[in-house]
Amino acid sequence: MANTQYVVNTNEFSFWYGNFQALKELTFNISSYKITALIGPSGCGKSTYLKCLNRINERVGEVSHSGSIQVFGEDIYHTTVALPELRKQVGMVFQKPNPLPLSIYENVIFGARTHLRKVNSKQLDEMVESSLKRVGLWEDLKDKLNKPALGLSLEKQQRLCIARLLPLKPKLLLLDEPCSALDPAGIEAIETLIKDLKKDYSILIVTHSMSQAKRVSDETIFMYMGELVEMGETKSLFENPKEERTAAYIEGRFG
Amino acid sequence: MFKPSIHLLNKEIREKNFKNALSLITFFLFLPALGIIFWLFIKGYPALNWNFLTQDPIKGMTAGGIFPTIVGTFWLVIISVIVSCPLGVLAAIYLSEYAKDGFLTRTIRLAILNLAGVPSIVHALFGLGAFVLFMKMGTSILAASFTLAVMNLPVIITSTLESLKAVPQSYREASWNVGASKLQTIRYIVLPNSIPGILTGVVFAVGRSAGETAAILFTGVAFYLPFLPQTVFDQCMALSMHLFTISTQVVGVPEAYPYATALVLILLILSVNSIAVVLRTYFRTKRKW
Ligand SMILES: Nc1ncnc2c1ncn2[C@@H]1O[C@H](COP(=O)(O)OP(=O)(O)OP(=O)(O)O)[C@@H](O)[C@H]1O
Ligand SMILES: [Mg+2]
Repeated sequence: MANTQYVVNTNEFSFWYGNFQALKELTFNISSYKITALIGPSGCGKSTYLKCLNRINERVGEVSHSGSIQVFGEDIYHTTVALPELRKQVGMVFQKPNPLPLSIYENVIFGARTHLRKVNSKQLDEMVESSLKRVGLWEDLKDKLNKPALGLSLEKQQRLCIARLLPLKPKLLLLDEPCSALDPAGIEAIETLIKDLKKDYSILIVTHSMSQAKRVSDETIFMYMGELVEMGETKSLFENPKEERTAAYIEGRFG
Repeated sequence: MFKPSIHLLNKEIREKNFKNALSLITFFLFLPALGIIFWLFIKGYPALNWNFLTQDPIKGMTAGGIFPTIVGTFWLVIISVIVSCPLGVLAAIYLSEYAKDGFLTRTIRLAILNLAGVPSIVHALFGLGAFVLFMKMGTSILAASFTLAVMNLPVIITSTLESLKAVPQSYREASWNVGASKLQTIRYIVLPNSIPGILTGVVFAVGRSAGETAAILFTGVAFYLPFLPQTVFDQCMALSMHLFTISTQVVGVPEAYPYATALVLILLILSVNSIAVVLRTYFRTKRKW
C-alpha cells in the first residue's frame, strides 16, 4: 500500500479556519528523500498546509477540512490516528527558533521522553550525542549540555530545534521559514545542514527566498491564495514556469 | 559639539526629580509597615515570653497565653489551603489550557474575578448555610476551613491563571510538536514555568486565611474554649478572633496582651511569606534557563 516514491499524497484537500477557506482543493505528491520547497506570497496558506501535515493547527479553535492527506500511504485524518504518534513521525521546525525552557540535553530528549516508557540514561546520552552530531552541534556543546538552551545563538537554537526531532525518528521534516530569523552565515549553515539531512529524511521547506528555494530544493510548489498553481522540478519551474502567475511571482512582480 | 543643551539639562533634572520622588513615595509606603511591626513590638513586649506562646488563656482571658489560638489558626489555614490549592490550580488549568474561549468560559472568568471581591462576611453566611447547616458539619474546624477555602478559591484561580498565561504559547507548541500530549505539556513545561506565580497566589491565600475573622465567626471559631480541638469536627479558637475578643469584649486584659497577640499573628504571616520567597527563589534557580 505504501508508495515509497512519495512521502505525502495530498488529494483534493481543503481547509477552513471557521468560515475562511485557507486551502483550496490541493492535489499533489511530495517525493521521498527530496527537498521540496513551498513558495508563495504571504498569506497564501503555506504554513497552514504544513500545520495540516501534523495537525498542529487543530488547537486554534474551529477548523475543518475535506479531502485527504496521506503520509506514507496512511490517511492522517482517519479517526484512528493518534496525534502524538503522527507528530512524532512528522516533525516541525518553526520560523522563530523555539527551544523549550530546559537544558540543551533535556531539549534533545524531551520528545523521546514523552514517547518512550522506559529509557535508561545511557540510551538518552546516546540519543543526545548522535542527534547533536547530526546537526553539527556536538563539538561545540558537548561540555555545555546542562546549560540552558535559550542561551544559545539563534542559529544554534534552530539547529537544536532540528536535533530534538531526530530521536523520534521522523519520516518527514517540515521547516517553516527556518532561516528567516538568522544572519547570512547562519542561513548558509542551516542550508548546508538541510541538504545533508536529505540523505535520511524527506523535507518540506517553506521559504520566502527564491534564491534559497533554488539553492536547496529539488522540487518546488508554488501556491497562491490557498490554491496550487504549479509544481515541478525546481530548475524547470524557475527557468520555464508554465503559469503566468508563477513567472510573475518568481520575477518579483508581486508577493 | 556634544555639550548638552539647556533643554537636555532640564530634561535630565526632571528625570532625576522624578526618580527621587518615586523612591520617596516607595519609602513612605514602606514606613507604615515597618512602623506597625515596631509599634506592636514596643507595646507588646511586656507580655511576650515563652509562656505567652505555650499556655492556655486563664482568668477569663485576662492572663495566661494564647496557645490554643495558635493551634486553631494553624488548623484552619492548613486545611483551607489543602482544600483550595488543588481545586483552584486545577480549575485554572482547565480554564487556561482546556476550555475553549467561548461565552461560557468568559462568563466564568468574570464571575471568578467578581467573587474575589465579595466581602468575607458574605462568605461567612454562605459557609453557615452550605457547610454548617446544609452539609451538617456543625460549627467546626472543617466548616470554617471550607469557608476560608471558598473565599480563597478566586484568588488562587486568578493568580494561577495569570501565571499560566505568562508561559509563552510557543513553548506549548514546541512540546506538542514533538508529540507530547496536552497533559505531558502541562506537567513538564507549563507548570514548572508557572510554579513561582502559583506560589505567590497560595501565599496570599494563606495570609488572608490567617488574618480572616468574619468568615470563621459563624462557622467554627469560638471566643473561648477550655480545651484544644481533638478532631476537625470540634470548634477551635483563632488568633484573629482572639485579638478581636481581648481588645474589645473583655475587661481587665493587660494592655500588652492584644499587641503581643497581633505581633504573633503578623510574624506568623510574615514567616509563611518568607517560606514562599525561599521556595520561589529555589524554583527559579532550579530551572536551567
Ligand atoms: N489561526 C488562524 N485563524 C484564522 N485564520 C488564519 C489562522 N492562521 C492563518 N489564518 C489565515 O489563513 C491564511 C493563510 O495563512 P498562513 O499562515 O498559512 O499563510 P502563509 O502562507 O504561511 O503566510 P506567511 O508567508 O506570511 O507565513 C491567511 O489569510 C491567514 O490570515
Ligand atoms: Mg507562514
